[in-house]
Amino acid sequence: MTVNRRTVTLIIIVVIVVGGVYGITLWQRARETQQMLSDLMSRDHGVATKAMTGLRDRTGAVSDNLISYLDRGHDDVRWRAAMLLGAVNTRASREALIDALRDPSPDVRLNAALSLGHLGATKTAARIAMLAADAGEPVAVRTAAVRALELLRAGEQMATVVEILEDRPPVPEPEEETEEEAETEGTAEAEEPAEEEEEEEPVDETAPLREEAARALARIAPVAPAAAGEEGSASEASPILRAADILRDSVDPEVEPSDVVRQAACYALSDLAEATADDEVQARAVKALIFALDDEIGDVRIAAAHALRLLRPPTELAERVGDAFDRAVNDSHYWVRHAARKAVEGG
Amino acid sequence: MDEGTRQQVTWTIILAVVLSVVVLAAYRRAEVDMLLADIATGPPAERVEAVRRLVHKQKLMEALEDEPRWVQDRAVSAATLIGTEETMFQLVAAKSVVDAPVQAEIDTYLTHVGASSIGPLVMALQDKDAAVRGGAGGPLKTIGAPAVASLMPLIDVYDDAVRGLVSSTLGGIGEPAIKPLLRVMQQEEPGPDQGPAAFRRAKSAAEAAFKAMGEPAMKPMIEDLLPHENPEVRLAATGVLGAVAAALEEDGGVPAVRPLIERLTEDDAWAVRRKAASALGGLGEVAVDEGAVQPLIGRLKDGRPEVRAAAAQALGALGDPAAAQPLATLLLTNRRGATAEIAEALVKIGQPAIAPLTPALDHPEAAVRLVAAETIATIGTSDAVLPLGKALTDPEVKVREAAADALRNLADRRVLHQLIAALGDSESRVYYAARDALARMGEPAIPALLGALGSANTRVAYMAEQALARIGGPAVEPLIQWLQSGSPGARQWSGIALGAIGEAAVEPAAELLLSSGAGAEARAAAARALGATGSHSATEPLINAVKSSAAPTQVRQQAVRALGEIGDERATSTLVEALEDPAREVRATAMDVLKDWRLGDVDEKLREMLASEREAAVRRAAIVLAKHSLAASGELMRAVGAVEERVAAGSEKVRSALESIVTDSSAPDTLRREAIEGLAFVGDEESLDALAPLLSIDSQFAETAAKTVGGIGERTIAPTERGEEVKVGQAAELLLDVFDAAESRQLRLVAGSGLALMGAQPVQPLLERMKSGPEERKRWLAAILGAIGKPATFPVLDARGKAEDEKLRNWHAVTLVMIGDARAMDLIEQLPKDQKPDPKNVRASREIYSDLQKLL
Repeated sequence: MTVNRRTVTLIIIVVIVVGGVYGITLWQRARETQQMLSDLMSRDHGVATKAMTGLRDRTGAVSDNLISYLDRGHDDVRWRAAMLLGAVNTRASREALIDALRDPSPDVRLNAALSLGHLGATKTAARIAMLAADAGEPVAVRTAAVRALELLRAGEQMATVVEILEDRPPVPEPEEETEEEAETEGTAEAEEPAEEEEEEEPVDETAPLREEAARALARIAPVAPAAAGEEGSASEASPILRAADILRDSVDPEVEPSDVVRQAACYALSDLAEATADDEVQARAVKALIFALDDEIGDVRIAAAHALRLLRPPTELAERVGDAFDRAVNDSHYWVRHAARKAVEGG
Repeated sequence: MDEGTRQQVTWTIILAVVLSVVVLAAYRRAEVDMLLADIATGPPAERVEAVRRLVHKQKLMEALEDEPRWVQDRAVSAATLIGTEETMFQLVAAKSVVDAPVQAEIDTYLTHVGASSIGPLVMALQDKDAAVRGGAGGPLKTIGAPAVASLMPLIDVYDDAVRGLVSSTLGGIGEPAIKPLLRVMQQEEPGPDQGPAAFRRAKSAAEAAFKAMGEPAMKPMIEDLLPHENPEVRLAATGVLGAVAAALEEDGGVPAVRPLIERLTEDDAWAVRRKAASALGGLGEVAVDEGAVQPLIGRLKDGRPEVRAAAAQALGALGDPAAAQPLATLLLTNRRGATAEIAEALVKIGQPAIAPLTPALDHPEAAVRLVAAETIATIGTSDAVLPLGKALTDPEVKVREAAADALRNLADRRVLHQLIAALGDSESRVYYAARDALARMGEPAIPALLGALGSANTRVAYMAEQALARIGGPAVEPLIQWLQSGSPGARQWSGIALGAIGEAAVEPAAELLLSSGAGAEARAAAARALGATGSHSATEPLINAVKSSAAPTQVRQQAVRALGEIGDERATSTLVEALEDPAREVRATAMDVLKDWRLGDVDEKLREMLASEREAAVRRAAIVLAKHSLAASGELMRAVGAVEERVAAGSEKVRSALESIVTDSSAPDTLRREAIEGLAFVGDEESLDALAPLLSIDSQFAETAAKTVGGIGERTIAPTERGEEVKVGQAAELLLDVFDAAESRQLRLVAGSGLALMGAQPVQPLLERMKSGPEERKRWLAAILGAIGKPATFPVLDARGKAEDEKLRNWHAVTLVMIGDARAMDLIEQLPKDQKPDPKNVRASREIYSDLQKLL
C-alpha cells in the first residue's frame, strides 16, 4: 500500500492535534483536582462540599492525598478525607480508616466507620462494634457505627446491636388522676393550685441509635452464626427467631417508649421475615405487627399495616390478619386505611 | 454485496435503532416507578440500591412526591446508609414534598451526622427553588456553631431570599454567631473584594440576624456597638436594640432603656436620636416604667424636626398623659415637619389630650384648627363633644366637616343647638352629618327638630323631617301635635315625616283624621300623612273619612288622594262612589285618582255607573273609562299583554256620553276638556261632528280638540303596507280643511299639531299642497311634515325625485332638514352646493316647527 506524503502529513497533524487536546485536558483536570484538594481544606463547608462532589469521580487519583490529609489535616479536612476514602477500596485506605476510628474528632470517627462499612471491610466489624457499643461516644458516632455494621452485614456483632436496641430508657408512667386530686377538683382549693413546676420529660437521646439498631438487626440476624443466639432452648438458639422476639418487644409501647423506634421495628420485622422462609419467624412477625396495628401513634400503625401486607402469614393466622385489616380499613389515619384497603383488595 | 442485500441491511439497522430508542424511552419512563416499587416492597439491599440510583439521577425529590408514607419512610432510611453529600442534599430538597413526620425524620438524620451535613445544607440554602431553601434553615440552626463559618460568606449574596434565610438562620444559631456578625456591623467600609452594594447588603443582613436572635443580641449592641465612634454603626445598633427589646416579653427589654435614653439625649447624630426615640416608643410600658417619658418630652424641643416627630410618635405610643400638654403646645408653636406625628400621638394618648387641644380650635391658622378638630374627633370620647360642637361653627369647611363627621356617632344634647344650626350649613357633608347625629340623639332632639320643620329654609325643614322620620315611634305623638298647631309649612313636613315613619304613625294619624273636634287643616294633613305611609292599615280610616258627610270637603278630598297613593283594592268602591260626592273638588280628585286606578273591579263599577240615569255620574264614569281604554294604556303595554280591553262592552255609550259633554256648553270647562281628551281614545269619525265646531280661533278647546282629532285619525285608519296607497280619513280631511282655511297663525298651529299626530295619513295631501300656493304657506307645510317625522321621509324623497321645479325641490330639501332622520340627513349632506336647502327657508320653517313641538 502506497501512502502519499500529503496523507502522511495529514495523519501526523491529526495525531498531534488529538494528542495536544488530550494533553491540555489532562493538564486542566490536574489543575482542577489541585483546586478541589485545596477547597477541601476550606473552613466553608459549602465550598468543601462542592470539592468533595468533584473529587468523588477521581478518588483513585487522589487517594494518597486523602490518606495524608486523614493523618495531618485539621478536623474538617480529616472527616472529609475519611468520607471520600469510603470510595477507595485499597488496603492503604482501609488501614488509614481503621486508624481514624481512634481519631480525637468524633466527625472523623463517624465518617471513618461509615466508610469502612461502604468498603465492606468485614474484618473491622469488631472494632466498629466497639465504637457502637461505647456509651461514651456521641450518639451520632454510635449511630454511624451501627449503620456500618448494617452495611457490613456483620452477623457476629448481633449481640452488640441487640444490646444497643435493648438499652432503652424506661417507659414513662401513664399520668393517672389520684383519688385525692379527683376530690379536690372543682373545689376552692383547686382554683389556687400549689405552684408546681412541671417536670420536663427527659430527652430520649438514644432513640435515633435504637432506630438504626432495629433496622440493622433485621439485616444482620439472617447471617448471624447460631452461637450469637441466646444460650438455652434449642428454638431460641436461632438468631433470626431471637431477632424476631427482640423486634416484637420493640414494637410494644409498654417496652419501647419511642414511637420512632417502634415504627422502625415494624419495618424491620417485614425485612426479617422476608429474609427467611421459616414459618415460625413469619408467625411471630405477623403477631407482633397485628399488635402494632393498635399502637396509639399513627406513624407506627402505618408501618405495621404496610409491613403486614408484605408478609406471608401462616394459614392458621390468616383469619386474624384479615380481621386486623378489616379493622384498619376504618382507621383514623389515611395511610393506614390506604394500606389496609390495598391488603384487602389484594393490591 | 448486491443492492438487495444492502437495502435489507440498511433497513434492519434503521429499525434496530428506532426500536432501541423506543425501548430506552419506555424504560426511562418506567424506571422511576420500578425503583419506587423496589423501595416499597424490596429487601434492604435493593432499597439502598434504588435510592442510590434515584440520587444519582437527581430524581429523589420528584420520585417521593405524592408517594405513600411507607415509601417515603423506607427511602429516607435507605438514604441514611448511603450518606454522601449529594444524598444529603437531595434529602433536604425532598423535605418539601414528603409528609411532616418524614421531614422530621430527615431533620433528625441531618443533625445526627456531625459536620457532614453542613455543606449540603448550605448548598440547599442557596438553591434557586424556594421550597428546597426552606428545608435547610431548621437543621442548620440545630447544628449551630459549626455552621456559622459556612453561613457568613453568604451574608452579602445578591439574592434577597437567600440572604433573608441566612440572617434568620444565624439569628436562630444565636450566641456562636455574635462575633462574626459584630465584625460585619462594625465594618466601616467595603472589604477588598466587596463592592459598596454588597457591603450594604451584609450590614442589613447582620442587623436582621441580630433582630432574629432576640435577647442574646442585646449585650453586644449595648457594650460593643452603641459606644462606637461611627454614627452609622450606632444608628444600626440603636435600631437592633429597639427591635430586640420590643419583642421581649415582660421586663426583658429593661436593660435597653437606659442606653437608648443616653442615645436620645446625648448622641450628636440626629438620626441616632430619632432612632432612639422610635425604639423607646416601641418598648411601651417598660420604657414608661424606666423613665423614658421625660427625656422624650425634652426631645420635643430638638432642633431637628425629624427628632421632634419621632419623639412625638414615641410619646403617643407610650400613651403617657403627661405628654399631652407638651404635644399640644408643640402643635401650636412648632409643628413643622411633625404635624402628623403629633396628631397621631395625641390620638393615642386619648381623652387626656382633649383639654390641652381645645385651645388649638381658636388658632388663627386653619391647618392647626383642622388638625385639632380631626384629632379630637378621632379620640371621640364624651369629652370631645363640646369642642366638636364649637368646631361646627368654624369658618373653615374642612374643620366643620371633621367635627360633623365625628358628631354623627358621638353627639348628645349638649350640642343640640349647634347641630340644629348645622342643618343650615352650606356643605352637604355637614348638614347630612348633623341630620344623622340628631336622628341618633333621638327623643331629646325632637322639640328642636319640630321647630326646624317650620324653617323658611326648605333644606333645613327637609333635614329635620328626615331626622324625625328616623327617630320613628317616639316622634309620632309630637308630630301629630304639630299637625294641629304648627305653621302650614310645618304641618306639611310633619305629614311627610309621619308618612316616612310608616306603620307606627297610622293609628294616631287616623285618630286625628276622624276626630271631629280637630281643625280641617290638621285632619287634611293627617290624611296626607296616612297616604304617605303607604300602609294598607290606613285604608279603613281613610274610607271612613271619605264617606263621612260631616267631614269637611278638604278632608274628604285629601282622604281620596291618600287612598290613591296607598293603592289598596278595598278602596275601589269608595273611590267610584266619590265620583258622585256633593263637593266638586272631591269628585274631581276621585276622577284624577281613578284615571290611574286599575285595581279590583273598577271598570265593572264604572260601567254600572255609566248605565245609570244620573247624568253627572255617567259623564264622569265615561271620562274615566275612556282613560282606561286600550288606546289610552299605550301600545307597549298592549303588546306585552299587561292591559286588557276593559271598555269593549259599552264603549259606544262612553263615546256618546263624552260627545254629549263636549257639545254641552253649560258643562264645566275642565269636564269638557277631559271629555275631549277622552274622545281621543274612544272616539270615531262620528265624533268629529262634535269636535269640528271647536276647531276655531274663538274656541278655548281648539288645541285639545285638534289633538283629539289627530288621535282619532291615527287610530281609525288602519296602517298600510309599504308601497300601498295611504287612505286619508275624515279626521285628516277635517284638519286639512281647517289648515287651508285658517287665516290666523294660531289656528294653523292647532291644525298642524293635529296633523302631526296622524303619521303617514296627511303626508301626500300636504306634499300636493306644496306644489302650488304661496311660499309663506310652504314653510308651514315643511314644518308640519317635519313634525310628522319618519313616516314622511320616503314620500318626500320620492316627491323630490319626481319634481322638476328647482324651488320645489329646495322646499323638499328644507322638509328633509325638518324631518332630520338619518336617511334624510344623508341626502342633505350629499346634495350639491347649489341644491342645498335655502337657509332662510330652513330658519323660517324651524321657527314654526318649534311652535308645533310646544303644542305637541
